[in-house]
Amino acid sequence: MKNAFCLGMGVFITLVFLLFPSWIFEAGYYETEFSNEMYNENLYLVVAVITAAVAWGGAALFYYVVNSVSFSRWYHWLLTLGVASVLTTVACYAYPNSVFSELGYDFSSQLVGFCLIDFLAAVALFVVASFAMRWWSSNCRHTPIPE
Amino acid sequence: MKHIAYAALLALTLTVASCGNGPRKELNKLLLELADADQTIDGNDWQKIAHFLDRNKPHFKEFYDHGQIDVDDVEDYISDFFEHRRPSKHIAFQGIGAKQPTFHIYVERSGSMAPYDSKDGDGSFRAAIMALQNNLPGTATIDSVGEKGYTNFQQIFDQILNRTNEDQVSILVTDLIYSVKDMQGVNPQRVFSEIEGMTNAVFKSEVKNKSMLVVRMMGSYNGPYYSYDNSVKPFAGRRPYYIIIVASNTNMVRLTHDATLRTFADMERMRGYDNMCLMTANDIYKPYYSLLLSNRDVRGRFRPERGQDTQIRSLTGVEPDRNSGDIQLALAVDLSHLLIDQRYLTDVSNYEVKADDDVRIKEIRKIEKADMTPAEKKYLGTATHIFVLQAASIGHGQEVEIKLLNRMPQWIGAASTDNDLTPDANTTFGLKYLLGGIYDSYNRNADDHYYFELELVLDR
Repeated sequence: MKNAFCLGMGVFITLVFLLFPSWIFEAGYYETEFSNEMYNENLYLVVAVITAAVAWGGAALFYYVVNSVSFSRWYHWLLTLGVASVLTTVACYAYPNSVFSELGYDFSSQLVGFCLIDFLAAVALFVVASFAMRWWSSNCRHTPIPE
Repeated sequence: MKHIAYAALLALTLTVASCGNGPRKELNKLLLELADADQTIDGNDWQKIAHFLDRNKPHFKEFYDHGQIDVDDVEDYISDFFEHRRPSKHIAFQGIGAKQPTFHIYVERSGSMAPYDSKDGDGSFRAAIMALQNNLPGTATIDSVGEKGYTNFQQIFDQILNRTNEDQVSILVTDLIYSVKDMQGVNPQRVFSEIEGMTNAVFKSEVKNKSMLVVRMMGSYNGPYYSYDNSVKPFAGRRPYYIIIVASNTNMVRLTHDATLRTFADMERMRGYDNMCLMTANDIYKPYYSLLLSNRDVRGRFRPERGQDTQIRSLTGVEPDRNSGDIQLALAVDLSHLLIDQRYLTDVSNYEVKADDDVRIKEIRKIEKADMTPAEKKYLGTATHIFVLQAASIGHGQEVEIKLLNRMPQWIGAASTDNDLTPDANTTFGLKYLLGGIYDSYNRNADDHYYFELELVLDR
């Protein structure tokens, strides 16, 4: 029952993140012109989808694909979290930057500030995803905190 | 695992949906190029959009009905696109899908019109008519209207107002001197009553759909002048005559917004131009406007509300200046492309300001070079003037509405005489009764008693 509740909460939090990405990101970072263009080009949603997908994908990889006893310590989990979050941040810089370049805008410095917030969001979502799905992993369900 | 698979599927779907559809992105880019700055899609813009859609027909099947572009669907798409952007914009459509309007020039042929075109004159009258005709796209026919001995304005105005259809623009050149068949020994008061009767009979509900522009011109006049009692006096000098343009409300706006018609509509540049008055029953104009964040006229502290881009219309944290103790805001407004005289536009008394606090317009001035700083250029947009708004303080969040009132201009009263037994260079017999009567008809049928409205939000 507890496990199902955790999974439900994880899905709920992720859906809220996907449904209201502009509110969440703008609460962390707002600069009028940059934020307006992020909104107008629908980039908040794209960034939110990338962030959520990598977080859930990374967690799934750790708990169900790797799922190894020799890779089940907390620092293994932390390494996976770090790699997933950095990957997300790089992707969430590169894609909006390419869109803005196409439009002739230079928002590179604003994107750095925005990516810091996105990095925090990626970390938070990886934690959420981990606590939502770890319970059914045969070898890693005690990672990062024992049950 | 099932949930994870669903979440991944959702993520993939959303990503594909937001990344794909190149032609749609190209269309959106085109729309931004055409309408983001002036918030208007005119005939030329429409041609570009139609051409783009035609080249990419397979990608935009929803915009086609039996092989033809569905104008309403495309308009809806454009409106939605701009309304859901930041900042949200309302797009005006002018002459979309419709044919180019046809133009008819009517010249009144009463005896008192001939001296304007006298061989002893300076030719300004003929030059003005030729300019009207030449500046129009395509060919415009010139017809004579009225009778030689008198002017039946009931018939003339009925022709140009009530029998002008949606796609037509009628232009009447006249001296606007009202006369009836038998003027011998007539009392001027009777003429004025007849004018009132005529305006009431002709200018009815149709004025809701059609606007009328009265342009006062000055031209040389050499010849006999017929006074109200039919007595004739020779007159040599300059006399006023009038160019009256009647068009649907949409076409009246199109005259100054459509690039192919702008030369024609630039009345103030015409030789002999003196003044003008636009009669309309609606707020037909939607000019560009934005508050400036810094300007020599700005006093006090404030910051723009979030979510605004190049048009700042909402301020928060508005506080008085510490030195002067008051607040001054600089509002950049585009006063070009309006068929309203510059003197009327820049007269502060023609504006009404509605706000909870005592906000008023201190000054309206043209934008100068010093106003065009790199940081402010994006807010200036197409603006031509700066409205300096002043207030002692802003007590609470409030809407500020600034309206350019649709008033009968003072020049009409000043250019009117009740007695033309001695003709002069400035006045027209019974003008205030004729134009006043027409203005009253518009006023009675008006939905809005202003030409345009500027809406701001100020919060402390």
